[in-house]
Amino acid sequence: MAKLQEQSLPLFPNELPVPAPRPVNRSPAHIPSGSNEQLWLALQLPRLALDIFAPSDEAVAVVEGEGSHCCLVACNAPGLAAGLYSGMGLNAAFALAPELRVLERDPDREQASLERLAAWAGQFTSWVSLVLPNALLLELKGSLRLFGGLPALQMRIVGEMETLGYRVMQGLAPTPMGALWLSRAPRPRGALTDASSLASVLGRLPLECLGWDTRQSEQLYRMGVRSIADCLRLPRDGFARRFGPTRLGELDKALGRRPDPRTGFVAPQRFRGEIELPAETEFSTRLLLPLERLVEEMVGLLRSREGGVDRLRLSLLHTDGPATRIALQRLSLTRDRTHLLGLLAGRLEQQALPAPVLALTLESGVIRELSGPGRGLLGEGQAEDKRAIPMLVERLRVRLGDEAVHGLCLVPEYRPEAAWRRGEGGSSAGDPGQRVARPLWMLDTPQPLGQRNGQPCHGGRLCLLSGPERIETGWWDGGDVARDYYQARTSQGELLWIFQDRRNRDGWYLHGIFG
Amino acid sequence: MKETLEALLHNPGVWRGRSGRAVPAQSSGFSWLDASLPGGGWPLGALSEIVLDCYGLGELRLLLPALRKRVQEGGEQGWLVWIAPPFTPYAPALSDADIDLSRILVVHAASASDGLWAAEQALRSGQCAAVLLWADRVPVPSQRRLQLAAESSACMAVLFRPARALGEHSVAALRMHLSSSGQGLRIHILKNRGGQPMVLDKPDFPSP
Repeated sequence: MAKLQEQSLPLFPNELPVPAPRPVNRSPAHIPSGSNEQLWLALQLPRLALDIFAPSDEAVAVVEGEGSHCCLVACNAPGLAAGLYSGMGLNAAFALAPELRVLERDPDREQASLERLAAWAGQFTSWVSLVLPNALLLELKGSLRLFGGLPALQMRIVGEMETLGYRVMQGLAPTPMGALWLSRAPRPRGALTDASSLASVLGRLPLECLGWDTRQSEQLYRMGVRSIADCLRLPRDGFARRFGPTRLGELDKALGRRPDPRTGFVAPQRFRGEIELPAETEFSTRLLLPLERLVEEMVGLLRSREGGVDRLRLSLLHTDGPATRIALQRLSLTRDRTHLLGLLAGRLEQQALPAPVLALTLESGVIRELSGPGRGLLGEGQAEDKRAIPMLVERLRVRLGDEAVHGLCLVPEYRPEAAWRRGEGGSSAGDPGQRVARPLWMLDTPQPLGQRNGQPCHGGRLCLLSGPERIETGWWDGGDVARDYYQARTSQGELLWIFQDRRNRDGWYLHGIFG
Repeated sequence: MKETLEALLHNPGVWRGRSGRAVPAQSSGFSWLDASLPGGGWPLGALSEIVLDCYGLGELRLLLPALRKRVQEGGEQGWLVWIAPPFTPYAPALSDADIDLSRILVVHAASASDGLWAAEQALRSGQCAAVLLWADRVPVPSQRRLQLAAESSACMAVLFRPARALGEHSVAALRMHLSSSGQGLRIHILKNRGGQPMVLDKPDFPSP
């Protein structure tokens, strides 16, 4: 009788008080859990196998397995419209959609993609954890105030992930395991923020939300267990014997009765992302959308590291032959999405594609801390605006070349051609020296003038208006000049600056124009 | 009452026919020219086109006072961008004219389309006091792009073109043809949105 009593005791009585939160050890590698102080957002990516590819308008399906066991893992909207579903055999799928484009499942790329997303999510919270194969856990409690409350933050995270091209299911709970269960629920549940209602809310979930393997689920089903609440009513020791202590531990962790430390994701030092196209393309415009996604993911990482990049490399991979590489070097450190995308798209537009493109890879240099303007989270837009001219310069240089954009500086020098030099825009211009009449236009090299009767002419006789102004200098560096400068007017009314070379009395030259 | 009326007259929604229309403009620094231009100067946020018989007529001197003012008032956003200039803008002369050299950007373009593209980028950056572009052939669609980019900004956008462009269509708000009249400068205002076409002869146009 006593034994029976013990066995029928509810395993997780609802009325038991939730233990008070204990101080937790906040080491960077482990995210502690199990206290009421936390709020976990689980992001489940049910279609990750497909979402790692660039979107397509045609029916596309990802398949897994060999030969006759080959079946669909996921397919896109046009595929669904054709009547395909995941789990379907490949032959049956071809019967329904003969034009179906089939992609091999790639678990390595899926994981890389998940890691990129984890790095991207680092902009919202410093506690991100990977749950392989296809989920992320974000601790949000500490970020609520900064991002304007839970609904706003949750909407922003999920919204931006969907913009990136990932289908997301979400679950929110005070424990990581509970959040994961909720995220697997067939229809969305409201946010569960109160630890005291964990057992009652989680209990209503069906068994599939546990994410256990089929054998164990079937075993539970045969025992008459339909929901998680039924599961919780089973005796502990029997449960542990049948399903193993790990599974029992999972139940405990979900209810917050046992700590559930998660390994924190450490964002990489540099960004590297790859997106494969569902079909190869020879149009660079088709590459813009996947490129935008990569840039977006990179900017998320940059925000989370509070850094910027100054070099980028975009590689376009072809079926055969070497990849086409586009390198952006010596940028001013930035994490401005529009700017970076503009630079890359500008170069991509100019790039001739030697062969159709299969995939594109974006790699950044080492992320460096971004200081000064553009760093503040709130004043970000404004601060970045102020630096718009270097950005304009950069944008122009990426397309036109580094030499094509420059500023002007003065040089204290009597030789007119040496009295200025190219400078960086915005740099101090030097001291203005003598104030003498100088033309606004200067020729790079003096142009010899024709002569008639010993008088210079330029499309007709020249009328000398003023002069000479003698410039005789430069003997110390071998570039010495000895010239008499005059202002002259042509018959068409042009005002020119010409000189006579005093070493060679016959030599008249045009040097400037009074524009 | 007077202020109310003034406010009403300056409301861009009120259309007042030719003369009184408030056009954002930058005084050219020459009273005789300002008097002929609606708004009293070079239009802002609109494209101006200057057609030249040849360089050296005073086309830059005509702009200098306005450019100086724009750069001074622009502060951080007072960039002066020269795109595809035919010769080198000479720093000592510009400095002599009190133009802040540190605000000048010179952009060389390998092709006409690069020049137009650069002008559009500069206008759209919203950080420029004035954008000057020298271009030979500007198809109407490109002109429209420029005009739209100029409208999105509040800066002086000036397009310089050779005399053979006279026969072509132009979407600019202000279009003038500069030529020489004996000793001086002749300005033929061909198109003048909100004003009237006219010819201005300036025999004594300020020499450098």
